[in-house]
Amino acid sequence: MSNEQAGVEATARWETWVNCFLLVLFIFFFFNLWETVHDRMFVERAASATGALRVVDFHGEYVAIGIVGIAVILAAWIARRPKQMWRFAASMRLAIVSITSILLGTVVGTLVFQNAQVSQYIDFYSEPLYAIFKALHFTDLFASWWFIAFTVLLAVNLVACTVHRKAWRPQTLGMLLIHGGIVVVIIGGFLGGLLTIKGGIALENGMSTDYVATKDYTTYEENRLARLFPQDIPENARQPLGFTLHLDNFEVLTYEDPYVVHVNKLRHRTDTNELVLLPEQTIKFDDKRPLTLEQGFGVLRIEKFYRNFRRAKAIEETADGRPLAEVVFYPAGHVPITNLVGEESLDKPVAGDAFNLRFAWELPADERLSELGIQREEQIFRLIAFDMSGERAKLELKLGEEKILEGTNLKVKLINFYNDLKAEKVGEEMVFSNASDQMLNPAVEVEVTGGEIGIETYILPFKIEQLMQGDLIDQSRKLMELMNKAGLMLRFDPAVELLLVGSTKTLHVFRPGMPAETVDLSAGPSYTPPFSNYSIVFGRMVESGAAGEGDVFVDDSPVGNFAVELVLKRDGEERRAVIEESDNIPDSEAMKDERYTLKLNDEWFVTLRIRGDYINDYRSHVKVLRDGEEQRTHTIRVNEPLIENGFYFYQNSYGQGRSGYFTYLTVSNDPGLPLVYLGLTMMIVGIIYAFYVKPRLKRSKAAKENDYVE
Amino acid sequence: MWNNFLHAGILLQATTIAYLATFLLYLASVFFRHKVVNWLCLLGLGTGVVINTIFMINRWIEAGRAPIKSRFEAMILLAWCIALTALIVELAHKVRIVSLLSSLTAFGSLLLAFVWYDSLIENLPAALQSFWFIPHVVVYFLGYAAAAVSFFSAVLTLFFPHPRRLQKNNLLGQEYLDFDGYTYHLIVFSFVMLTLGLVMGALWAKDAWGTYWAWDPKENWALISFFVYGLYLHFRKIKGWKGKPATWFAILGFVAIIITFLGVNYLPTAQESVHTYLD
Repeated sequence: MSNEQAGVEATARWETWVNCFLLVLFIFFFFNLWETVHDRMFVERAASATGALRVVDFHGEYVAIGIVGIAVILAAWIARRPKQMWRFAASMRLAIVSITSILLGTVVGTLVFQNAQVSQYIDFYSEPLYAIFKALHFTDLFASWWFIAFTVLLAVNLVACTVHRKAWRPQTLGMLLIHGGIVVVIIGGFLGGLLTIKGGIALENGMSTDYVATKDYTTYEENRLARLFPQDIPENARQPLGFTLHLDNFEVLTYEDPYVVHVNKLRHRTDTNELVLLPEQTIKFDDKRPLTLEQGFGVLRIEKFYRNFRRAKAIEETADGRPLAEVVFYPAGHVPITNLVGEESLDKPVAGDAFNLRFAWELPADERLSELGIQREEQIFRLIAFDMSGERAKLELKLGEEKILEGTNLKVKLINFYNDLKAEKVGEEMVFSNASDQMLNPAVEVEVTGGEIGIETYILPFKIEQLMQGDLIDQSRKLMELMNKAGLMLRFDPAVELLLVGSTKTLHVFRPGMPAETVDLSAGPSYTPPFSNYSIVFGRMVESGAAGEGDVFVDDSPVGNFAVELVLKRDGEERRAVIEESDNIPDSEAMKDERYTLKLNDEWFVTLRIRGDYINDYRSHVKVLRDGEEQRTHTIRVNEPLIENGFYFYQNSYGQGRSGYFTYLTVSNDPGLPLVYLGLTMMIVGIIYAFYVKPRLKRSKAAKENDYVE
Repeated sequence: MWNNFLHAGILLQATTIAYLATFLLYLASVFFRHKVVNWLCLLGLGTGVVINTIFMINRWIEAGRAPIKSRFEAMILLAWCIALTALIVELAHKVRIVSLLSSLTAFGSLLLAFVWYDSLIENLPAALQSFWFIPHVVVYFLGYAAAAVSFFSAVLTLFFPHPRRLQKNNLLGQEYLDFDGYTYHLIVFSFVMLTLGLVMGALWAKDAWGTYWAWDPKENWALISFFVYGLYLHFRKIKGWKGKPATWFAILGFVAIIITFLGVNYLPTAQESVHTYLD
């Protein structure tokens, strides 16, 4: 290319400036076109799918200006000394400018969070920096007009460069394939970016569907999915599939060998001068014979493995013969729970029949409302009520508005909205306010009037609803933090997966997929859920779940807190202990905690380690039907999607449904995919040919010629 | 690190000692120019690779899966790839000084393995149970290893920029030196491996997440490395760059590779990545 390079440099200096000016113009018009098309394709579709408020006008004139502008520039380029324009498009200079810009852009994209929440930017960087990032489109860099413009320029340059060299010879085949492949991948990528249909569907065993929820509807927040069953997807958010998908069975497989018990010796680290626990011996899950420790501590045996271990305090019998388990509350932020309810009257069970509706609110389509400065008074909030049968009713309310809940005599009034709920106890009263301007912990305050309940006020945090639909396993920790921050109480029932959320007066008892129960705490601090074998006593706040006399060990519900029960026999004496898994081992702090280590003596400690993932695999056995006729069956696994009618179905996740697990599949239909695959194949074939096949051919040809000469 | 070394078992200890001994032997061969020392060097390197291989096979059998999941296992794979590349380069080109530096790097890689030591064999999560898991990782590590060796070769180019014929029994123990050429060939190999890895990663990502490209930090840096090495190859071919300017580009490429391999774990966006080693 050194010839063209010399040619470009030979052009007059002003010529280069004109080219650069035209380039800037080109990028500007491209930006215009892209922004408009992007808004049209994505934002407006998102708005319509969720029945949202933000109306995006379709700026046809911008598209026209963009197309005309690009056409004029191209025409100008070609009309004015076409040879030199062509040389510019094919020049090394353009290649370097576009590749360097893409390189720098990509580096920035790994230094600045992409599509994160505003607060994350401000916390990590700073407010002025965030403003700069925003202005330069750094926060959504890879979809920004300038990054895309440079990608287009690179593709144009690659094409021009290849054509310009007129290098269509077998010797250059590899080079042509590599560069052509990159161009084809870029084209396929753009096609996919504009036309890909994305969505998701949640299914329980036996459910069928011939549509899925469009992506914009399933995404409450960036990167977080609301997993919807077919009947919960509104008409205008349904993407038809052209066939019926039926879930025969969903299964979760666990590893047979999920953990190891280590017998550790306390050692001095030579490099850091710290004490650490280092494993000397391991006891495996499948070790049938008891391990005899050489150190003369006796015989150690694994008694039981717990997937989700909790320590509950001693069980007593209630009057009606049910065992009584005390719920242990962890300290909840700045709210002293001991002040909320008394320690007495443990024997007064209260039936949870006061109120059988569960409220949650859907985040409006535009979750950035505080950022955009939309008047909150005009915002419509949607509340969902669940009755005992699990049926839903929806209410749409503006701030201050009051409506009657369908099918009941209850009046619901929306009193207040919090974007970042904070709860504080002032005297005997709980006071709610916003902790910040950010949309971190949205909640609404609702007043319910009527029936036997009189007037009751509820705080309904948004995240609860999301969690109830979602996966309790991976979100429980997050929720715990959230609730602590909000000053609300949270604990799981030892026996069943149960969520307790409450404030000074009321306690909401949630179970996934079940109607909520609300308990009036003023009537007495004990409660018997109809679905549990336990009576639950609310009340005492315990600093931590440290083991003590009369502990009961409970293991139920899905994966959470791993633990192992050990029996140590020595001199005819039997010692029993449960140790939980800790991330902190082998640090010296962990060994002091009896929850995580079984201490044999001052030097020797037993610990538990989980071998990474406990879940081996989760898979959906599905059927594809057309007109009621079974076409085929397939097992969708994490790396094995179902491909049907252009739609790819991926095993995304799963959760606790109303009866057992439900599966959640994400769906994608990308018309650009064949081009991308073609381009990738061209690249691979080209690169191997260019670097390893062609030189060998050349060498053998040269050798032959030498033979001939000799 | 030292405690972990003591607990690592005989195979890994032997591998580490072999690489260290190889490095010392190569160092000695600079001063004691004798055929026997040269043969001992090769023997040391070969022994290191063999024991390294046995360790990985053993761990594979024990784990019931390829030993390339944790950061600890990755460093051992890297040591293996580097030593193997050095062995091939030495046998093919009779260039010994690259082996000297490579055996030191393989040793250093194992030291890092002891820092990130994990005796516990972890089960494979569902996302990694794919046909692409082994080829994707192995191809990338071969690419990383070739890049590391090319880096040493590039550094040496700064001192010996021109190909030269040497007298026998010279300081470096060989007859012909062309570090610029070695760098080029190693980068070509690395570039081909990086491209293969990138494409395999795209195919895997499509099967696992539904998108062949997710702008993940690791992906981004792999793309950056690909572009830098691509530019190096273009400058060499089109502009005829040789010697120092090309060498600085080769070094830049290796910096990008280091960030791709280890640096991304420390970037602000690392928590969004699916590629970080979190154990």
